[in-house]
Amino acid sequence: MVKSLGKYFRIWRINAKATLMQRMAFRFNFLLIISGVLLQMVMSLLFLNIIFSFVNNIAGWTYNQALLIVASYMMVEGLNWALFAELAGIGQAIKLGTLDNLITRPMSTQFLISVWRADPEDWGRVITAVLIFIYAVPGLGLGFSQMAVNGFFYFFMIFFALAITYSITLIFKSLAFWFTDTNSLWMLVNQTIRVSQYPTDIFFHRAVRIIFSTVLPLAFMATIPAKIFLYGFNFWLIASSILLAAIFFFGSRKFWQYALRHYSSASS
Amino acid sequence: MKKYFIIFKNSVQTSLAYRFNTFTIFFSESVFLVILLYLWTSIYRQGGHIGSYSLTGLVTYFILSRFVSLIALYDDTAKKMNEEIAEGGAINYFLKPLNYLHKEFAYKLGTVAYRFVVFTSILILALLASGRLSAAAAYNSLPMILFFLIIFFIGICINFLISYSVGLMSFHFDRIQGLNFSIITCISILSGNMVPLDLFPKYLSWLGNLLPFKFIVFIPISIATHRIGATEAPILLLSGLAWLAALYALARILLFFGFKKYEAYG
Repeated sequence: MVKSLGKYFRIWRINAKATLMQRMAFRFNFLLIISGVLLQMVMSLLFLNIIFSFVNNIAGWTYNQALLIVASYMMVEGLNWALFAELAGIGQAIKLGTLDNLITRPMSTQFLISVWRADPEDWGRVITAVLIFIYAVPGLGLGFSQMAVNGFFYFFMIFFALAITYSITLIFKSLAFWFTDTNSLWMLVNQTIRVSQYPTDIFFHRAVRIIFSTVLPLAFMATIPAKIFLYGFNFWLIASSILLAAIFFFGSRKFWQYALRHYSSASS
Repeated sequence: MKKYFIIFKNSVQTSLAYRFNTFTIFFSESVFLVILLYLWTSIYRQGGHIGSYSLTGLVTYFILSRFVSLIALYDDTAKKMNEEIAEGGAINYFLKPLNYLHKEFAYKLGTVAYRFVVFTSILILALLASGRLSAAAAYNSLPMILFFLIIFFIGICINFLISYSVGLMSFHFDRIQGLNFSIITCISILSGNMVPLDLFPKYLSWLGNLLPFKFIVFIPISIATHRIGATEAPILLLSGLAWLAALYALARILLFFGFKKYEAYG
């Protein structure tokens, strides 16, 4: 098991290095992509700042608390891009028929398709998220020991948030096996994940809140990790997060395997 | 003219063939719109107020901004041109009696026309279902509708020319994704797609008013919601046309220098 994990980690590392070298071959382009990524982060912050220049809370969330949600969203989204490039490779591989190269290798195709186009520039998102987190924390009025304990559970929740985000991305992107032109799928995934940067308490209809906590658990991507950091350990929230992450991960894996059976190579 | 009409027709047919794309774009924008509506409603319910906008005003702005961006904002001209130029496929067009700019524009118009028909129908059906069609029709006079359509078209052309100019950079750089991504993000912020420009901090509002991006989303919506009146029409039309002329000249210059550098593969 450990040996196998080591092998997967080594492949991820080699792949990440190769992608970075590929990006560095076009340095100016790489620099501009990083600028674009940072501009997107600025866009989210600007939106929040504009709202808070008129009001002092959104559905009970103060500015610093809302910043915590944005930081959590950016962290999860950034990791989803930096580690898996939001699974952008699936559509392209199906369209060009290059998926053949991956399915014939003696490894999990899902793993290979997930990591073979990791985006190094998106570590910029993660770093920005961490900086926003550090900026927001002093204004939350938490003591040092409280921050340390809550912080532990918070990063634990971020891990499960990433698992949920990855699984939702995989489900959407697997649709590419039926619909060849998948540019819009990227947009669908992006917009859906983007929703998680707002506190889910804005949904004053109970039914909508339930949908965003179960069917499409966006609440668990940023709002609930932020709540754990603010209010500390909550068994039900943590247990729900683990359960949802497990359901979505195994569900998406099953869906991916089902979708893969519909693959007809385009290269032959 | 006939050859460009064929390109236009091909573009419409391609859009029809990839109907799923249209559906997905519409669905994702609708999901995001619903979230925004909840966000603004939640703020107004707790007694907040955003600038000079009432809740209805802000909701209308965001519904229209989604509608305008569905038709005008998504432009993959640069991406398409980068593939054509970098991989050598563009030579097929350069050797034919075709104006490359006109060819790309005809293609773009095909996509816009398709989306305009689809999304306008959806908007009309939504208004009909909510019983607000006659109120919406009575709200805008014919000259104002015409003014809106002209400015909307200018916005589409401005967005196209920006994307086209970015695409032409493929003559100088193998990869332009970075430039394209940065420009798209700038447009998204400064066109008023995210937040109305008049709610921006002063320095950004000034920048937004200085650049042509406002013609893509903010100005058309301000006309439709009567925040811009008929008295401002001549100056807006002139400045929109001036931007079009400047961007057209830039595109011609970039194409001229691009051709000088071009080495086709294959």
